[in-house]
Amino acid sequence: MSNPEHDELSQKLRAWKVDPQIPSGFQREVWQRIAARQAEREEAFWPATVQWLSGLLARPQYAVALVALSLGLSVAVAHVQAQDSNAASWKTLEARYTTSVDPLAMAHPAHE
Amino acid sequence: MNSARGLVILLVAAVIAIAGYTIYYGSATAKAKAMLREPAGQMEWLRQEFRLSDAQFERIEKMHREYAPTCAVMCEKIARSNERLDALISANKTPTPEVRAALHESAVVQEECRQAMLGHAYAVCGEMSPEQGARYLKMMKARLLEPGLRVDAVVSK
Repeated sequence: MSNPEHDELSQKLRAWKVDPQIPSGFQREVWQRIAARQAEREEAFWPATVQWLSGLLARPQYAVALVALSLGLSVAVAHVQAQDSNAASWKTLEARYTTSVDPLAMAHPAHE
Repeated sequence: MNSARGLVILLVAAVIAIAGYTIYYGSATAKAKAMLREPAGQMEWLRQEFRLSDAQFERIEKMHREYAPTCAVMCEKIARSNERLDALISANKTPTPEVRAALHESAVVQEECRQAMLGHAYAVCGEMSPEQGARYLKMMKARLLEPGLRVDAVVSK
């Protein structure tokens, strides 16, 4: 019950051999292409981010929010630093007062 | 167009932030810095730290002015006795009677100074309210009990 056409096809398929010819430097080229695409994506990140931010800041509500946030943060930092500075000044003034009434401290400036 | 506008807004925010910082910091520290620049800034410190009324401050300032020459004389006495002791210690290899006498003299001068300082501290304290007077005495007590205490050590808090 064999089919002569089927047998012939099977024989041909069995006899068929593929001998692919990989061009020299194929692997290197593939990696070069991958690297080039990654670089393109990275280069595109910053312009896209700037574009996105600019788009946001073009809206008045975001622009006002940014200005308010910057001002709030700068005043908060100034407040903390001013407290430290005032504490240091206060300490210096206390030292000046106690030295002014303490003959021992006046006679031993090395303690300062 | 959008990027230029965004950049301008970023710059405006930065300028406002810098201006806010400068103005706030400058005004918040102006008072203390002015007191530091003043030759008698420490008296203004005393007034504010111990919440003195004008009358209290006037009396305390007068006491301070009167005490200052005494304090300066004592400072000189201490310096002289220390110099003498220093020279004697360097010139000898054992505690000779002369070294011991100089040590005794130095201790006497220092005790005299501490007594004068305590007297001034009590007088100043007496002009203050009981609560502030107690704080002031605590500060001065630390100086009296530990004569070697660093002058920048804060004990008034």
